[in-house]
Amino acid sequence: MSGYGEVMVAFILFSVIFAGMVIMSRMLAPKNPYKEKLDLYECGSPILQGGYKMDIKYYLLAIMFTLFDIEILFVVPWSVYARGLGIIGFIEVSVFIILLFAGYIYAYVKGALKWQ
Amino acid sequence: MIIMPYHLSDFAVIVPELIVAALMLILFVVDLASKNRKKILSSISIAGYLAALLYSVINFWPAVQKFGFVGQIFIDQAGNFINMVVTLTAILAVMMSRDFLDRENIKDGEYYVIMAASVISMQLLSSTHNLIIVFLAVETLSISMYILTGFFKDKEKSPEAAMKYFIFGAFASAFLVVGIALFYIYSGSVEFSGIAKANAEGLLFIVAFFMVMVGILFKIAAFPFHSWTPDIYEGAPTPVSAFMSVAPKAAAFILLIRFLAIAVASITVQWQNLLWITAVFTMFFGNTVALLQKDLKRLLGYSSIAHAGYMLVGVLAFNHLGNAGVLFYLFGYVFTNMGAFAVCEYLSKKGNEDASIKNLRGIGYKYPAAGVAMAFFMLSLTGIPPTVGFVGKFYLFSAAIDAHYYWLVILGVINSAISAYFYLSVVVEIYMKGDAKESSVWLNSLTLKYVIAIGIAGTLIFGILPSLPFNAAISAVGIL
Amino acid sequence: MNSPILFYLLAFLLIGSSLMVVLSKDIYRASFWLVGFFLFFAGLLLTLHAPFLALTEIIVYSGAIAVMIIFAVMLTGKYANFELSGYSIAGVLIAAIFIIEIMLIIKDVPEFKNFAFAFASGSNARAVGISLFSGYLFPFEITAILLLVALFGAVVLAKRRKQ
Repeated sequence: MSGYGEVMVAFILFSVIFAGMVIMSRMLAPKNPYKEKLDLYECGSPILQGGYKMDIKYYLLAIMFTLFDIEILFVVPWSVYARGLGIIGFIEVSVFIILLFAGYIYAYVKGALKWQ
Repeated sequence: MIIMPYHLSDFAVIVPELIVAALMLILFVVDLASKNRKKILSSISIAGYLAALLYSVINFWPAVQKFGFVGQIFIDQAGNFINMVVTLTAILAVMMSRDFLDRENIKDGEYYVIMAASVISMQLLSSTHNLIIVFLAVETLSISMYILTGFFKDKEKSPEAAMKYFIFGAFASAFLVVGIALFYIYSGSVEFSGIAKANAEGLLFIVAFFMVMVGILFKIAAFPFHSWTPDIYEGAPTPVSAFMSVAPKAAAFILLIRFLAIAVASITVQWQNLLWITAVFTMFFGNTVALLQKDLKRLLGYSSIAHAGYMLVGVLAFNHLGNAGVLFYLFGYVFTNMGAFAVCEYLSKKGNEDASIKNLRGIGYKYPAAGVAMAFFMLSLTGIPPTVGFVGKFYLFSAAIDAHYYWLVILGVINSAISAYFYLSVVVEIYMKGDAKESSVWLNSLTLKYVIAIGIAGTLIFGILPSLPFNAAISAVGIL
Repeated sequence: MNSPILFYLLAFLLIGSSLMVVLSKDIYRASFWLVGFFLFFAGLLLTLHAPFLALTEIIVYSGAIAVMIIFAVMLTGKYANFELSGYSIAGVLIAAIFIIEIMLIIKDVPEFKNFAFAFASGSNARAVGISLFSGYLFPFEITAILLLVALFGAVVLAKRRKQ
């Protein structure tokens, strides 16, 4: 179990650095809050009434990212013990990856990754 | 080095799944390679499902349960029976889709690929005692169904229905997976036989049982979990509604039967009481609310809730006749319900608008064949001889009498009488003098007409000569 | 590594960030606090000797799910600026009932204590790997089909029709 000690130290370090950055910027930055600042994407254009039209493609990308992320998660148990799982394990994980690679090809051919 | 517990011979157990998986792969490749020839996809689908259907028919006998993949999956007669029901439904649904998708300008070939994936998941569901496989299959099935429901992108109701279905379904899946986890915590096993060995007195066991039941009862649209059905049937493309009203229910019913008979056999009396209430409410709810419906597809939605109620009567009788009755009922339901939806599709206008019952007025004179067919399917759904609907109900109710559920049978018969009112009012509308408000072009599709013909043939032949499928069903429920 | 101090520190941060998710007025900030919540939860799982679950938490939740939530918030745009405070009493009530229920179950059901063994048996990523690639290979490959279908669905439903 001690193998994760380094991870923990790194984790705590990151947390401290991150928290420090947030707190420092809070303390040092000039403050001038007004409501429009909370809106998203205001590149000089007048504020639209009744909502923005954001491309659904962002969300499509997020979903695909999630799916391939889950694929990575399934590959992790293989990778930590790849030597022990041997050639059989390699074939098994290959089948899994090939199946999902077909999904990638599909998304590519259908133009889901294209940004018109 | 790990020891591989699987053998090459294990693949003999999943041949039906492999056939459909190969079909899915071919459809996928053809869809990617071809730009516009989507009709070929439906032809390939029909051929693939036909192969799987034939495999199940040929390998139906002998009555053994052959396990594979360390017992996670098996093939037996009940599984083969449900495979037949599912692949037959898929064939009919593809035939219904062929020209329908053209008319509605749905060009995405994924339709057939996703349908194949859903068929695989139903085949898995009908041949496992393992709750992990059950969960994965239920998820694959649910996701496929959400997507198929939302295929009508031009029509506002379709994505809305998909969204509703997704939200309800996600809740049901969450219950199912928590139930499975609790079973595992409690008994240390995800196999039905392992769960059966656990002490059924514990609080956790009961909680787990209820949660898994929520997941299964949602799939068969039984009483407290029925509310998604009419909206989704109305919003989905008609062939999908038809497919959804038969095939997933068949897979869920065999799962329910197996789960109740093996995993929780130690609390039979309790689950029978639970199902008694569920069945009565399901029947009454489906039939009484159907009385108020103006839309044909919504009417069929409520009717499918009621029919799930009748089948629950067979499940809770908990004898061979009851279980075989459920299988037989599902088999007959394929022909009757697919036929009814096919007529509904035949008489619908582009965009699927105005499927109201009023629009059927006078079509019995204008389109005599469609009128007769619809009237015939309505009779079968009511349960009037010489149709398969009558025979199915007869088996279910006589099984309940064998198990001494007299009150339940009385309530079931009362429900059939109620249902006669709205089914026959459709028939009356068909043969009413006068025209529908506007005469329009109906969907002219050869394969759709074949579906109606197959529906009539099946309803009539198995209504008069039920012995062949019924004997198969009786033999199938010998080993669960 | 097994010091309870670390556990309680992380648990404290976890509760703090989850409170911030509920209490922050701006939904964007709430979603970023949620990312913090996932990270602290991952740390907590590490102290409980469940590195694989911790990894899941980081890869899937603070990675992908957080991105999805933030994009969803962006997609809904201004509509998302609804007032949440009206539901606070009901929320507190439901949360209280849920916590009491969980505590009762953990207290009364001995099976949960037996279950603790799973958390004390070393690298469970390796254990997951061994069972995933031997006995549970078949369900594992079904998962691939499940993910594939989900991908098809996402592409089909989100794709605009060319016209």
